[in-house]
Amino acid sequence: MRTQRFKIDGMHCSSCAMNIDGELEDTKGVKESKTSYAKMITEVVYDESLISDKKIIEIVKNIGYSASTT
Amino acid sequence: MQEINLFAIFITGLVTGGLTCLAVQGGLLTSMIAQRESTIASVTNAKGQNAVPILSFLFAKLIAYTFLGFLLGWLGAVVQLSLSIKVFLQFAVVVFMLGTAMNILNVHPIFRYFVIQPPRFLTRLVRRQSKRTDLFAPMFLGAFTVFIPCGTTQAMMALAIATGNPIIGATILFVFILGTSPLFFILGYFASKLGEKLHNQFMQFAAVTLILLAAYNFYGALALTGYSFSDKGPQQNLVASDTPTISINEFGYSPNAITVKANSDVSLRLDNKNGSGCIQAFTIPALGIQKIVPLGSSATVTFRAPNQKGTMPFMCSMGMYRGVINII
Repeated sequence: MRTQRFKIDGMHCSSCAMNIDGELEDTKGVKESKTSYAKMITEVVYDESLISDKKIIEIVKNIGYSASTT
Repeated sequence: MQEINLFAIFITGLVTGGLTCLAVQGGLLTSMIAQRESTIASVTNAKGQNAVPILSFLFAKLIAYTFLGFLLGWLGAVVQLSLSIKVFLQFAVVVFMLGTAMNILNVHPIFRYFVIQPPRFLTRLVRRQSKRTDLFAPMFLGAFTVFIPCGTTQAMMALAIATGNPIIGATILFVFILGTSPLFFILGYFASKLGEKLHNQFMQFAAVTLILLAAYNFYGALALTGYSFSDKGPQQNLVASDTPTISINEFGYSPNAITVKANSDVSLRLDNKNGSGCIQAFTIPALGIQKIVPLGSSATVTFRAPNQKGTMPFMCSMGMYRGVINII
């Protein structure tokens, strides 16, 4: 298990945080996703044998936000 | 206060609320519809039957929020908010609205903290509901959105508490959510998204509306502190009375000026003929007096007039309808 923080841009409101967490937690390999709207950060706990940072960034981009590792 | 304020709230819902809440609630709505379509399409091959689930989603949402408004207004009433707490609450609502507007306008990241993020167990619960495909799913989901209010909705919720009246609280949220509904319906029905540019323009308009609403509330809050906007001092040749009467009408207090002698005991009679809404809560901020006179009833307020000659404003609980007491 690995914990990685991502910087998120493009969240209009706290509900976007919920969208991101929901989408990531539905992804295989992601154990937990915690997004703070105020801090513009998502903390993801995931199994690196199943998923990568790159893939996570891609998922976040697909639902309309931009992400980068911090 | 009622009409203009409710209209502003409706517009805020139509523009800001619609957009700020759409991000997630709209996402839930469309994902729910997509799930339904993939299930139903395999059976009946019918597409575009989205109106019913969207309407039931919006209807349930409207009911849930109206109920929430009722509860919040009731909470404000039960806690027996003292006048000073009401003033404080109303200023807090103003600050909250301005903070939300500043956040929409991206003035500074610090304003992001004005947006309250709902606890995770609630967001998970709501999300789980969105995956159901049965007929009641859209209704459940619509009602569940009360747990994930957006920033603008939160400002309206604060406003509902500040009124301290379940009916007005319910009305505020009803009107606001009604305002948010058209955008939800359109975007839900066409399952489309606004372009980035149009979205930004909408948001700016929304922020301006919020600022105006905040200014309006600020004016009311300021009045409640007892601050007088046009203190010209008492007029000449006034006749004082120890037992004045004020009628509460639909659009104000009549007369809107009474005269009492300094340091005298005054027994003020209040007749509520056809005043509903906040005008029923007759308030003299300087003396900390607030008397609620329900529609069709009468009440008497007794107080000792101040020693100092001058004027003392009276008003409704929101500071919108006013009048003045001349002390001679």
